[in-house]
Amino acid sequence: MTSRPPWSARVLLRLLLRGRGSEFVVGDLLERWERDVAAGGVGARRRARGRLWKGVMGSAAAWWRPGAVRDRRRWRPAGPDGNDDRGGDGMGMWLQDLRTAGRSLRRRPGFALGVALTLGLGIGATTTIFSVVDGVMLRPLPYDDPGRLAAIGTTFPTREWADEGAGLKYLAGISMLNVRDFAERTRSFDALAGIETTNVLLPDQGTGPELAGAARVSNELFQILGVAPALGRTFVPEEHEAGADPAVILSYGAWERRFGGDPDIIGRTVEPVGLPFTIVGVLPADFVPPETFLGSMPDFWMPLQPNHARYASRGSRSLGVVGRLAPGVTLESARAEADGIAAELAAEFPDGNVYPDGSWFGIGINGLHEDTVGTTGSTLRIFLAASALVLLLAAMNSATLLLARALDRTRELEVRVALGAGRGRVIRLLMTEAGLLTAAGGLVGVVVAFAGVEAFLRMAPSSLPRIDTVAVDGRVLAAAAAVSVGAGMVAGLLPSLFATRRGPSSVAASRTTTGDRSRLRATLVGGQIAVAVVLLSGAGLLFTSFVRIVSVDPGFEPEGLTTMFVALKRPGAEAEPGWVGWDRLVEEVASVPGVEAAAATSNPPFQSPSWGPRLLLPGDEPDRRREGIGGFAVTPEYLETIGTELVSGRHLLRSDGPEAEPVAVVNSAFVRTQLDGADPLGLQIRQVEGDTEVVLRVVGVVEDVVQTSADEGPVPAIYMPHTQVDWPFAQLVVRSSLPAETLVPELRAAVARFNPTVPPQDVRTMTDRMSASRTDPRFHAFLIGAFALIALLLSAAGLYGTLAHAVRSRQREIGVRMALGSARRGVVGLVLREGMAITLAGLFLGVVGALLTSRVLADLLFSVEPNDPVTFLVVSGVLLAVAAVACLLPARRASSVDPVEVLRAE
Amino acid sequence: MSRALGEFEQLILFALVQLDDEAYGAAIGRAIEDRTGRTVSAGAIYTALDRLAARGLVTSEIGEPTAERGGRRRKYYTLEPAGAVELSRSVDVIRSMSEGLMPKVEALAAERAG
Repeated sequence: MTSRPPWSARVLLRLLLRGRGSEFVVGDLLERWERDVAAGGVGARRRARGRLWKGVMGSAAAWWRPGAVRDRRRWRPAGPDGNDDRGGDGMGMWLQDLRTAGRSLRRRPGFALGVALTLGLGIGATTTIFSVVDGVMLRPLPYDDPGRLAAIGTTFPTREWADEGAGLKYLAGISMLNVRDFAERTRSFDALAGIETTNVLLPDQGTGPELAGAARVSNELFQILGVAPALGRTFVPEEHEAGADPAVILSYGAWERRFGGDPDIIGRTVEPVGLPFTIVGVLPADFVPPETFLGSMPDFWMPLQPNHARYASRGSRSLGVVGRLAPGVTLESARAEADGIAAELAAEFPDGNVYPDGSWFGIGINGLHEDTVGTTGSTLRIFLAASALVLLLAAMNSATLLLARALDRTRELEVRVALGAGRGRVIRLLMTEAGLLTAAGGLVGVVVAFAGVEAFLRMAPSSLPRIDTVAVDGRVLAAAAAVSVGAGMVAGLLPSLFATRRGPSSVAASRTTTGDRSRLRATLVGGQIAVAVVLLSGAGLLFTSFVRIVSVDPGFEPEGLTTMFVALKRPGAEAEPGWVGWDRLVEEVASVPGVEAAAATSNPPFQSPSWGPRLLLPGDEPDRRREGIGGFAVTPEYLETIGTELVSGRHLLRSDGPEAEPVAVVNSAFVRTQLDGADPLGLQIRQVEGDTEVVLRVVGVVEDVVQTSADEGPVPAIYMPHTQVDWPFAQLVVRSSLPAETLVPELRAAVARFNPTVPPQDVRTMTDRMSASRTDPRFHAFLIGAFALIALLLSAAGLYGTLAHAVRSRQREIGVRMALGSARRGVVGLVLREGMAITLAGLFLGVVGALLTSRVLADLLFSVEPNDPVTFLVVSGVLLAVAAVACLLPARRASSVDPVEVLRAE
Repeated sequence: MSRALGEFEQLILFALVQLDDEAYGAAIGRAIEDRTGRTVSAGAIYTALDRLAARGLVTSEIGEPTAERGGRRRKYYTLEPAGAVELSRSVDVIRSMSEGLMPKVEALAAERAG
């Protein structure tokens, strides 16, 4: 059985190797392919493919060298192969077409440039987005046999996690004990590896102590991913025992940056506070950590020690797990097995696995690639579709231009036909022209794509995974070439077929506008307008959505606020109650000159609450679970410091101390969602934590503060005094009118006085935080907006060009009309009516199309419906205005026709 | 007097000698690759052979189509006496020019490598 080479290679062979004698070359290449494939062995097909491509390109290059072409043409053998295609050497004719086409385009450089730029924009836009889609979604992860890698984590029984189709679940971390038990029971995986992010504190090198990113990992991770160290070794089993001599592997970057790329680094130590880690290995430069677990490359990799005391609780779900599926095991069967194991674990170890109502935490499995791409996939598909619309529009636009040009040349073409050129030959000539223009457009497109990818990478939100993989490369360029060919077909074939439809007898009739011809052009222009309307509507919706997000009342005064993350546990203060640390920190910072107010909270605004307390309201069953309530430990000054207004009751006070009656403040969303709006003041809420229970009295209600981001909607919140909650970290919130350059160093110094061992992290102004929370919607609106703008301009240009051309070719008719007494206004009306009829038809089609498709945007929109009538009205208005300008210019030109001139010219 | 054979042309003619009546493009490519480790594209081989045929140094013959070639035919080449003369002449040129010089050439090359 013969195996077929890749279709792309076959197509190229056919296209590139033509003319006399090519049969033998092609035959040889195919024969070698067969032999290479038949040779078998590991990677035989890949090798064969490589050799085939090399052969095709090499042969084509040799085949078309000018000398070779000349030789082939000159030499007419009497030999047995002389019968190939004597007379009409395919190549000769092709070259002749090419020359003719090139000559005729040189005569109309403006036209050629216009088509090339139009196609280039479309090709460039599509290529840009394709390179992003390729890098993020299509390219396999850079590991051994990546298709068999899976991410394993905890799924929640009650929370409504979005199911991203194809069984993809949102995975939270999983506890070490559950991982261990899962690994013992599963038959679906060859190997499992745990990953945990952490930090190491590096000693003060003069610039203050530094926290460096680190990861604790199972040694299996390196085997599962197929990573060999660049230097030294990975971990040995003993190093995974609790209390073993601490070993560390460096990332390549850390090795270069922190240790100057010292080749004798193995065996040396780094001394993060107290612990002399021994460097045992350096990871290779091209290693990319699994992004779904590690957002950035950790400098230090340490052995995960499963027996360490920190993993004793099943409630501590801190690990990401990556597994290699056993051969033949599908994700579905692994999921089914995991469901069973999760049920077993819940029955055997209810503590930490089971909720009070009896439901339990599940074990979820996603393909590692799908888990990494996550929900970005659907957004990228929308971008790709939008860019394809731009390309379609560009192709239609070019088709209009080429059609107009073909019609202008009817006489020339018909002379060619009269001189004996067949219809096929004329089509070939026109297609060759279109091909040349498309090739030029493709080149422009590649330039646009390089610039576009650059701009995309600069503007893309950091939430986009695998962004490092995105680049314009061979794959992307091949796609650009394919797209160009497709666009060229659309742009060239339609006009060629149409222009050559009638025989030579029509020469005489060619000066009048026939219905067919203007119908085709009107259809093409109307189509462009329709596509533009679809893109404009999408952009309009995303823009409206962005504006709504920006104008959400954040519920506090963000200007002048600075936040930073501070670890409260500090050496020498282990014995004191947790709240003392909060107070010391706030005191230290409040004493900085220029600080107007300082407070601390477990989570500041524009950050998701990290604590969901279990609350029981009066009348709740003991196993009632109220979900989605954010719990906040705050110093009493917090709500006033951020400028949140009191709705009723009072704020927390310093007198709500550790010995006083436990109290709490709730927000309006809490009152709305948990109490149906009933007055909460004085309400007794039971807060249950394991076996202990505290009764909190609600003393005040505040307005809603935006937490995760403005488009998430308000979170029902309960604020408790820091003295009543044990929380090991604080987010410091400082209000000051000092500029950041002066304030931040002062704040750092103050935090260092409080705790010299752990520097503050994530130091940001509140406005930065807010702006970061909006990068996604801003980017969506910008990207689709850019496409819509291109679409609007191209379709307006198409409309203008078509009308202008119609006016030009109807000058005689207009002149006669005016000579017969038609008013100038009537002539203007004539052109305007034609233009507006096309516009309205396109607008109608576009609005229908937009209404049908805008639902795909639903997930990206905030507080605007996909069929928002206002957006559609505005979009229609903008389009009509632009179209009116595009119509008016040629209309005025028509009215300035001098009938005497026109008739004399006849 | 025609121009001298290029190096690539010499390689091809030697391949024809080696292959006797089995000399078609792919086989020639393999022969060159086996002996010299150099990969040459089929297009380049045929272009060169066409040139040689035009000079009357080789002749060609069309074979039967085969399945493994996707139904395409092979084109077999034979070295003509004139081609053999040219080939031996061009090898002679090199041989007589290099006479006694190779040890020195190799010594120089070794120096560079070391």
